[in-house]
Amino acid sequence: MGLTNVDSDLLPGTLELLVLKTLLREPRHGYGIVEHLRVASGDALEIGESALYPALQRLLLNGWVKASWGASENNRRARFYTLTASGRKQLEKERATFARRIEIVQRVLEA
Amino acid sequence: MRWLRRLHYWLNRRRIEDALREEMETHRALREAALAERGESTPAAASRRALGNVALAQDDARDVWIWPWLDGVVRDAKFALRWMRRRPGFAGTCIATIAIGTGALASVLSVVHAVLLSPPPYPNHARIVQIAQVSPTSGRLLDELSAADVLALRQRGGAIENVTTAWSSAVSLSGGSLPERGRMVFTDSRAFAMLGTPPAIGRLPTLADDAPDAPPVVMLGHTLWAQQFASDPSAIGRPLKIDGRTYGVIGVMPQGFRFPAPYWSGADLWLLRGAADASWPTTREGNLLAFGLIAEGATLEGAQPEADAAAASLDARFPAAGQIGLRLVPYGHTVRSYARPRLLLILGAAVLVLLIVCVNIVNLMLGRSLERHRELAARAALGAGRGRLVRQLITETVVLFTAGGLGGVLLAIWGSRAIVAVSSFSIPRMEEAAINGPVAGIALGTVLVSALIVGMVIAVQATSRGRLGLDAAGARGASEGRRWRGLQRVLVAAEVALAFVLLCGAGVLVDGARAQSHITAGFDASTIVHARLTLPRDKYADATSQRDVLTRIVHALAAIPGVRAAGTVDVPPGVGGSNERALSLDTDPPPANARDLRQVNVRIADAHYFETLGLTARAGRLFTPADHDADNVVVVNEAFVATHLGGAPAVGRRIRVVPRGATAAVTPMRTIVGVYPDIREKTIFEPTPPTVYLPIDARDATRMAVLVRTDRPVGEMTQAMRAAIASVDSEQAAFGFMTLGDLIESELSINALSLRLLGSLGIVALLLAVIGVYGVMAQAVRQRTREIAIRLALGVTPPGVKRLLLGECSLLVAGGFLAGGAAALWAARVLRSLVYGISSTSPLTFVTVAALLAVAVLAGCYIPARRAARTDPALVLRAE
Repeated sequence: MGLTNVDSDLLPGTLELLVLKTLLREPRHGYGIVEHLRVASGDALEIGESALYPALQRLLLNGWVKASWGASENNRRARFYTLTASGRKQLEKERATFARRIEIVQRVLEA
Repeated sequence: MRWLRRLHYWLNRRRIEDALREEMETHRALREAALAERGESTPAAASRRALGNVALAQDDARDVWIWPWLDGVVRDAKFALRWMRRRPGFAGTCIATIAIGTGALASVLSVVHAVLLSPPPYPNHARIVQIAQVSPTSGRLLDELSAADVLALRQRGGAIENVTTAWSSAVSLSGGSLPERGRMVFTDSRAFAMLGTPPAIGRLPTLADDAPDAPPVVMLGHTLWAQQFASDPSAIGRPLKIDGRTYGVIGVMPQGFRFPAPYWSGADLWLLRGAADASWPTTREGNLLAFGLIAEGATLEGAQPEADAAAASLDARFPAAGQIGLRLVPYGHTVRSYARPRLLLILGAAVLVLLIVCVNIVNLMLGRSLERHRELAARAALGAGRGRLVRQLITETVVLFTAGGLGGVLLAIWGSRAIVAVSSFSIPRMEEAAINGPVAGIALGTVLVSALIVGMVIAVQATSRGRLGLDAAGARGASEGRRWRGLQRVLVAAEVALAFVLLCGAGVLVDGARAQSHITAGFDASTIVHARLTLPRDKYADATSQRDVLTRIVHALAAIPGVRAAGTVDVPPGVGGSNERALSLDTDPPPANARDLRQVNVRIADAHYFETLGLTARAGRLFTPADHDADNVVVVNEAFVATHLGGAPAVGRRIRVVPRGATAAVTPMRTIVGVYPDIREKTIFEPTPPTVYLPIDARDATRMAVLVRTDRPVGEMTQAMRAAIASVDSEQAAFGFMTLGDLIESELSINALSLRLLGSLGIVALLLAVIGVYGVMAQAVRQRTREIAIRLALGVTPPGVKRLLLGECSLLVAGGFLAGGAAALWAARVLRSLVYGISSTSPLTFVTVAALLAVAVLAGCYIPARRAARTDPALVLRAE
């Protein structure tokens, strides 16, 4: 799988779910999220900026994450995203939805 | 919550977008560092490649925040502006039309706002009340109180504080830079305490200044201060000679201060001479405006019982006056309610004009959208949904209306000034009319709502399934066209109907104005200065002493240099009073009961009254100084002769005028000695009632008016008349100095304003209707070129084509008249009830208006019809 810059490479809404999950453990900046997803997926997922940033805006708009400025590893100014309480709830919900969806797809494939 | 975040984004979008750019650059730098670590040869380029299209990513990010439709609307608006630039003529016509409609609406609204809606311009306005007398007979509210009323209210105290009075007069000033005439208001220190407006410089008067023996002081208006004292602060303390008496200037009121604003807005200065200066309470006849301040924490309703109690105590003291109530009303209530129906009527007319504008725009835009149907169909074919096209058409309309609305508000700045300039100031606070925030807001809001409705109509029509289904290649869609033309015709007919209603309204007013201009007062009212005086009954108890003092006053007045004649009468002409009494003629059989008697208007007049008005007897003679009541002589007017004597010779006939409370049997017969010409005895608008003039000692003559005929200005005359009256009886007060012309003018002015406004609106409506009909016919002709060409080719002559089109047009006009006729008749009736002096409207007015409208509309049709007749059939058909 190459660089994922388009939402449709994943199931719709999946990117948001993955970002929420990524932020569950600790606040991260954009590059940190991408790197975490890459490592966690065993180099399978390489999210491009043009997919990541609109997704982050959607999360911000819905109030699921908060952003604050901090210093990155190389001491640049970077925006760190933190999961909010409603984001946590959303993560649970999306997780369940996603599981059901996969299950449905599986059922069809195995039928 | 989401919308709040969106709003936050929208407000800070530049900062947030910059931050996003920075964030993405950080992202790239981190990636570059990582790539370099991994041994990439050109990490910067690779990181940039990985980043992809930054601008696109940022656009996508922004789209999350900005409502997509809002963005779409902006894009549509830009498209609409481009489209308008391409069709400047069409867009210009639409915008101009809307601007005219909005301008008319906003101008009228500015007047409505100033007169009816805005609170009085004083800091304490919420607590200021006006106190009115309730007429014992009609129950109407009368603005003017007597000094006795004011005193009674002050004595009660309680929740009504600072009861104060005001009346106005013209004065001559000297002591400043130039001798000048000024307009002053008599009031007292309580007025300033009540209003709460601080002075620009100097101090406000205090109760000490009201004391009769205190040095006389005066507050200056800002304009007068600027003109007479060149805005010099040292004016404070300087003496100012007003009508020959010296006053000390104690303060200057701020720019724009007016009191009492609805009544005498143009006041230049305020003299501290309150109610106590008037002839002291012998009567409840009102001549003072009275105001009060509701105590802090009290309400108008809560304070009303105090006024009732004061009225009850007055009833006990003046049993003869009848039970005159006292009512607390919001400031300026009575004058406002007087102006309200007419202003609302004119506002209604302005709304009608806007309606015509909307119909016009629907017509023009629909015509255009038919021409544009290929563009719309192409866009539909390329995947634009109906919603998308509807949105675009509505946006276009809103853009047009916004442009027109803004233009209209600008027009209205001029328009409201023009209204103020033509109106006289007898309409309260009229001069404050201006385009301000609220007025512009209401006007633009109305325009935007109209825009949405018009846009909806256009969009739904233009994108109806059948029409968009047509292929873009140019199918003619004849049946579609026919259906749509039907709608367009209905709209044009509606427009003609609306214009007809407005023009009929204007016609009714013109009719009234013409009647008014024909029927003058009957004498030259502008050269007659009058004043009212009330003789104290304890001093002048009987008719003889009253006659005596009045005769001496009249002599003194006649001796003033520049006075050509002076006289006295109980009710001067033109002020609206009537005094009906029972009448029987020498030829009448004795009536079975008193109700069957004839009624006649009675005036008491001295020998000089008639010549003061400048008229001479039509027959017989008028009174001479030798005529007394005992002589049993009367003068009658021409209306009397016509009504009661059937036009037969009157001199020598004998009549009985029955006083109230007496019977015909005990009333002496009186002989008619002369006939006086008809003058407008009641209001200028009302036909002269049959009138009998009696000598002044025939009735109680304590409430009289003195009149002088002079060419000298009223200000100077006031001085001289006061002096003359004082020379006879130094304690006798007189008030209400003004020319009968001004008195009549103030009654005419609101009628004149209605006429001018409604007349202008009617003309605007006419123009709009013509533009609308022209536009529709021009489009219809363009669309029917082929049909017309075929007709011509088949042998219809060019005049025949013209006739055909004009015939169709006539049908539209006729339809409009039918629809508008009933509404116009109703509107005319409403108008007649609202505007004085229009008793009936001749059918000729309606016919004239209809003819005018028909000619104008047909002229609008004629140009396209002529163009159609000139069609070269060969050229058109070959082009097919």
